[in-house]
Amino acid sequence: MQAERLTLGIETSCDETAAAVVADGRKILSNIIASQVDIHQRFGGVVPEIASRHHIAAVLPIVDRALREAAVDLADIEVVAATQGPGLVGGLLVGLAAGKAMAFALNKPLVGVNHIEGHIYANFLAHPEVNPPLICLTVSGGHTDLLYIPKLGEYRILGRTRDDAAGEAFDKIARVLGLPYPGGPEIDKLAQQGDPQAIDFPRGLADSGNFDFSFSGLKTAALNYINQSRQRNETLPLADFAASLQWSIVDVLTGKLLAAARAYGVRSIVLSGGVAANSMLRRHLSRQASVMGLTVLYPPPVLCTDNAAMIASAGFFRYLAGWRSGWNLNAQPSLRLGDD
Amino acid sequence: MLVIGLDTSTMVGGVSLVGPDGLVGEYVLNVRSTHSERLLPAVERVLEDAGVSLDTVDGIAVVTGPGSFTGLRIGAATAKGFAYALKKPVVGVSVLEALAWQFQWFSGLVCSLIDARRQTVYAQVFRRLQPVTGAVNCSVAAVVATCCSQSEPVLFAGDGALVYEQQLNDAWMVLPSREQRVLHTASVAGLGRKLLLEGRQTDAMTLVPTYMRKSEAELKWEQKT
Ligand SMILES: [Zn+2]
Repeated sequence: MQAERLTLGIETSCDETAAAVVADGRKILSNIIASQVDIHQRFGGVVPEIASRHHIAAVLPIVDRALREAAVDLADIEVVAATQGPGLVGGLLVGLAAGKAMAFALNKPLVGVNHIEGHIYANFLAHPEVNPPLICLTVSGGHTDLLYIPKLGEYRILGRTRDDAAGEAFDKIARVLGLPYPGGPEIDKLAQQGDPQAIDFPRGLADSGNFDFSFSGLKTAALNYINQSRQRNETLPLADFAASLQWSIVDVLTGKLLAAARAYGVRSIVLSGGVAANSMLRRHLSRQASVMGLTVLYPPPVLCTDNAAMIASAGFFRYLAGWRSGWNLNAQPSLRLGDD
Repeated sequence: MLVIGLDTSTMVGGVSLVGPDGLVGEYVLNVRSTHSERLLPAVERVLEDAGVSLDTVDGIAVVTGPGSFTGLRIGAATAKGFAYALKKPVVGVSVLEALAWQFQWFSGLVCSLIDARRQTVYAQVFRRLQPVTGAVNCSVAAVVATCCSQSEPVLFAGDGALVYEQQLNDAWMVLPSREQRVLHTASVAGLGRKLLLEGRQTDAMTLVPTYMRKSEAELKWEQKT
């Protein structure tokens, strides 16, 4: 049996200081996360300077714990992977500088990882049997990106949203309805009791023949619907509204995903991002996909939060695909998929 | 004992190697590119040109503050990473003390002055390496007033002595040439080496910058409550 190839992952893009050791890009040996949630609570959101101060205090003890728990020495690590962006620049710089210094000191290769790509790799940690080629949908408050993954460590963007992200549309409409943040899960809950066919909302770019998305038309139509019912002093049929809204998004996402799977001849679809947790999307997509003999994978809840195992996994496969970062690697707070 | 010094506390920053015979190598830049991009390439350059490999270095000295919060963290994280990976001792060095080290030959007082933005400075006064005052964050006028009342000449050093050159000249303070006024990283390694030889190392696990100032969010929070 061949020796396991180890990656050390470091993630400090928001308010979690995380480090992990992953074997062969698939097997988690340790996955340590120090959360600062309590610290930022009184400020009503993550304060970048305070987050950075906690990252610099926590980064080495967390890396040390990850190595100890994996029962490996830093010298046994083959490649160091650290989140390069997107995220808060002050925090990113801490994890990146520490990772770079350790790799430099021990003459190890270094790979900067896109955090969004990292979330996709949570799927490969949880489902070691899954192999490319794959179609992947990254869908959250910030992104709606449809990707083709020919082999691990590589991806091609097939389409993305031209305006709002799917999660952004959920959040904005939920805010107008006075629902708590984040709005997606709240709308999902309300939609359970509603009729998805009750209101016919627009489906932007549904028949565009490409893999791009547009949710701004839907957002406007939904907001108009709320305003009109308020002006007429009618009570909004909340459950029907939520179900119809959700259905118009799920319908478009599913349609494009299956079309992409067909176009590229893949057998598996993977989801990542906050909206991947949407129950209607999971149910509908799985049902449609199984008709075509396709499997659909979601990241397990434990790996949905920000963690360093996914960064290690993404970094390892990038490394296998020949990626190396230079010692001048810098943080990129607004890095997008496809930018690197 | 060969010590590598790192400074990323202000726009001036660099890397140096100091051994038993003094300076081995130094690379200092005062440019706008970020420390994140230039620190490790500078380390690589100095080591390579000096024919030294990082694992033969006996200790690491890093400026822990005061200065740019982000800059300080880049230096601290790098020093921590080196120390942890190589199992070598590390020591945090105050930029104010490192400037006093740089001008230890001066017979009067040395006032280390670092620009803290928003019309304020970080300052501390030394006599031959011994602190005469504590480190403070105040207006440059307050520093000048204190120094004017001294009977000895006061030499000003640090990037604050560039920014506030006019005020310091008007008050008849001693100013070295502009290029000498800034922190040379050799002073960080030199002072760090002395501290390490005295056994005054810092625990790499707990090493953090000395900010001397709370975050804006904390200050606002305290005002409210
Ligand atoms: Zn994330």
